[in-house]
Amino acid sequence: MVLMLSVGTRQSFGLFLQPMTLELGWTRETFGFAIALQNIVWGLGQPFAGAIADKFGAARVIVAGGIFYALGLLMMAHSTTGLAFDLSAGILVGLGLSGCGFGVVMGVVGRAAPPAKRSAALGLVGAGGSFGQFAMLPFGQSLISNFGWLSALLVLAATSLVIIPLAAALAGRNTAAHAGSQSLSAAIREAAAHKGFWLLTVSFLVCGFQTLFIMIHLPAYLVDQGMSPTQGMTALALIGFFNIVGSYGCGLLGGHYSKKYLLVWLYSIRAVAISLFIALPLSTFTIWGFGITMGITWLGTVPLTNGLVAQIFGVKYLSTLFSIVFLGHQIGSFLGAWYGGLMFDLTGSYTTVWIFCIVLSVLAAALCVPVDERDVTLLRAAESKP
Amino acid sequence: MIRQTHRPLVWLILATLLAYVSYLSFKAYLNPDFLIGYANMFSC
Repeated sequence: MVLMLSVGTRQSFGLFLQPMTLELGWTRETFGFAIALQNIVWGLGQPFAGAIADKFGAARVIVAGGIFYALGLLMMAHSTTGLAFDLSAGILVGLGLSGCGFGVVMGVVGRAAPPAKRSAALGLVGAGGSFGQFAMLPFGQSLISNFGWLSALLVLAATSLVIIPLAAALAGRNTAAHAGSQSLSAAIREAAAHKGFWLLTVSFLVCGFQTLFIMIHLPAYLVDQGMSPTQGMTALALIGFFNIVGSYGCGLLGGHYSKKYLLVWLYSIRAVAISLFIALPLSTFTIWGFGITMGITWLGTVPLTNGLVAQIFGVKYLSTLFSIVFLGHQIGSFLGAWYGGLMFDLTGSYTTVWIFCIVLSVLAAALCVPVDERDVTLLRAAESKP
Repeated sequence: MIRQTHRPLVWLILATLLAYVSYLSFKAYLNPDFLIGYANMFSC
């Protein structure tokens, strides 16, 4: 539920672009810079939030994240200058997301769930975040349409305060923090020296690139190809809905099969789906098929990647280590949104970016194959025995 | 804690709620206001 509110609410921010810039006389760049700043603060802040959560418990971090988030939304509503908007939407909301985003929340669940059920539990949490992304976007629009952007932001600020009591319920459950003698810096050094850690980070970057490119540019692509805006939105709604199914399904499968090979399958399916989508003539059938397939593979990567980090490096510093991997996802997201627009401006079509997405899918699938899934703590223990 | 006998009922209520919110969300995605709002949005 924390993820549903935090990641879901964030999904609707773009909808405020038009009403806010029109009423306050800002340029789109003013708005865009604050959102870009938010992503950078989120991506960079999350490993630190994860480290604090790993060391002192996640509840306090999520409570702080909820407060920053609500305060940021409240100040967004009262921002009249670009600088105030940068501080609120950029820094405060970015810090809020660092505290109650994927890294910290998934770390809590990864630690709390027994190994046999961990993947399914992570899938369920991912499904919660996916549901938030799916439902909060039209909810945000409905608030803006009915009450105006200012009241909509105040309602969202009040809604995000619910994160605080939800986080309080997680207090005192970080038992893994005192297990073992490894320090945080030693855990980071160990992960940095592990080839699989970087392979997972790069493959997750591909995931971020593809999802943001499709999310932002798919409706425009479909309209360019002569389809109606309604069909573009239907595709996005299908992606959003089947993302819920896919997140939980991938988590469940991860409990029974090799997570790295599931990731290989997932990226390969994406490559085939994108290839068919651009090769076949566009129709309602192909758009629906693409939406459903991409939805199922959309954030299924999250429980699998997080589960793999937990499986390889243990759960003691899971929030920190997954947050570093997630930084790769955020960089990919930024590149996907930006590169899609850039290539369209340069070439007048999205074909190059679609082909690039296929190549990236194949690359990500190939990168997951050599990941050594064995538990490093067991390997370390075996090496230390005479 | 939820009693074992009440669990199926809780899951049924949650599933019904999820289905209803999903239906409303699907409808909202195709609302003209949303189409215009989305056409003007960008995020990263």
